[in-house]
Amino acid sequence: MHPVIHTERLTKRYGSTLALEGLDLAVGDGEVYGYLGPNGSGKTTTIRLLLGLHRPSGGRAEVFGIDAWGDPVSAHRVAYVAGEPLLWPALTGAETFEFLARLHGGTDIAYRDLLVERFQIDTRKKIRALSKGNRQKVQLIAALATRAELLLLDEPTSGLDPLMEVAFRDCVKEAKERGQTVFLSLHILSEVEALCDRVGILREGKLVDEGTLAELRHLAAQTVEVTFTGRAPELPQLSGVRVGGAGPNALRFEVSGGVGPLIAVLARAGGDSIKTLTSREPSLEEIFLHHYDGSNGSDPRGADA
Amino acid sequence: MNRAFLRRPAAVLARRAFRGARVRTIAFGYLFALYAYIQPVGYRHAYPTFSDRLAFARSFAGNDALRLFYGYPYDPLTVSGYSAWRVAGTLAILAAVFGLLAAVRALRGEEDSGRMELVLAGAVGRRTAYLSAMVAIAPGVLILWLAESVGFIVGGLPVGGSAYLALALLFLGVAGLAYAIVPRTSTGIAYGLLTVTFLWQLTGSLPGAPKWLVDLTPFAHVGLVPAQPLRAGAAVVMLAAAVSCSLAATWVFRRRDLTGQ
Repeated sequence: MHPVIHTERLTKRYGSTLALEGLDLAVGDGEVYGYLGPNGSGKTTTIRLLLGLHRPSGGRAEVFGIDAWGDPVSAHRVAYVAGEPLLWPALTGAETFEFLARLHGGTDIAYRDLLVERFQIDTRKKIRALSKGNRQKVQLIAALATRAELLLLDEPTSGLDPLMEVAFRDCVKEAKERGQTVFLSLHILSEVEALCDRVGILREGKLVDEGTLAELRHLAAQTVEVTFTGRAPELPQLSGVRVGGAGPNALRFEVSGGVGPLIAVLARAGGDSIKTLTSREPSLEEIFLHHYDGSNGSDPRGADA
Repeated sequence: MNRAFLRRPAAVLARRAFRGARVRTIAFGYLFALYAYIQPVGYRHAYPTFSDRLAFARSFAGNDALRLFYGYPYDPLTVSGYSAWRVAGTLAILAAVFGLLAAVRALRGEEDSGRMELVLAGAVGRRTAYLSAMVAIAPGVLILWLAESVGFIVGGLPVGGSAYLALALLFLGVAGLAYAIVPRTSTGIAYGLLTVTFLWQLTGSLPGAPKWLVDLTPFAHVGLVPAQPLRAGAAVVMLAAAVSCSLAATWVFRRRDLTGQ
């Protein structure tokens, strides 16, 4: 069976700028996939290639097994939310819903009404009179109400307040329960953590890491923080352990692999003076930042102390 | 027209484009009606006698600068001749500008604003999006013809057809093709072409200019309404060129990246 989204060595070049390089991606049916990366890393380019709005410079992108550039109209099974809510300023919210529903077809009107209530939007106002957040709500409601098999959401929560972000999360969870596939480009990591089954991290047009959160956490360094009753002792270098200062009486370690060797070294160097020792898995933010830590782009998992 | 047809994405898009252009269409229609009305009425008022009209005609006879500016006078001794000469020249360029503006607004405006992206991400292909915009503009051209006819009738002249409305469609097609090829510079290219072809025709009004040279510009074939009958052959050629440009544009538009936001 074909995955819903499948790309193979997908590359996009704009003149001399390489926006996306050799992207291999597979998103399965009913999956919520988080696509992470800072501005300019190639997230929007990927989505435009998937929608057939831009022509690949190399490789191919398939949506539902159909070439995205060759037959973009197959995208009628897709609903899209753009990063910027650029709508028709002279239309009201209600008119925009109607226009987009007629254009797309298959809109669930009852669900749309429910979403209007949930997102608390006045549909009688013209788009030009709405704030960015409210325009984003209009775009989101129109897309979600199509009940499309694939939702391509490019920074869908930009401009939304925290309450509406919660409403958005509920919508994505509902979409997942219905079996819809969601491709979510975001840089709010807490939302990705809350929603996504798998995460891909993009850096300068390349997919540098991918997996479930558990996989990424397992592979990424975990943080060990130790406080001492006195001054922190000097420790020998350990493979896979990066030491960071956390104060005169404390040390923070980022450990790739097991923590046993570190514990043994700590016990030898000053076991009696250890006051507290805590260990936690890295947050998604820490995993993400690892990929942007430093300029060389090397794999942070190989970092030594 | 049944309801199912009206609900098709192409019809929905065309209606939206037509509504988006209504203010501009009304403004141009008003201008066409007013101009067609003012010319015969103003001429009768300014040159009530035959000697007045003869003096006016003589002022043109020996003045190249006036002819270069206004074009070669057709029959300045009659109301219909004078009106045809003044109306056709001015409204021809206005019609061409209408076609250009309509194409720029309906196509490039939508793409630049990022809204085209939203449309094409729905169940709409590029050919449908492009041709819907073109089809939406055509009724506007009909409205211009009706407005002009009303102006003539109220001004006491017979209704005439004119190829300059086909000229509007021609420039619509040309601007659309320029947009499909080079969206960011299409407006400049289309207006440049309009300026060159119009000036070409004016230059042809000077004595000694070869006819074949003047015939190269579409402005030379729009005909003088209401003094002359519709130049059906010229209108058909311009319409065929407009359709060809539009078909070529859909082919090109399908093969390039969408620009904009």
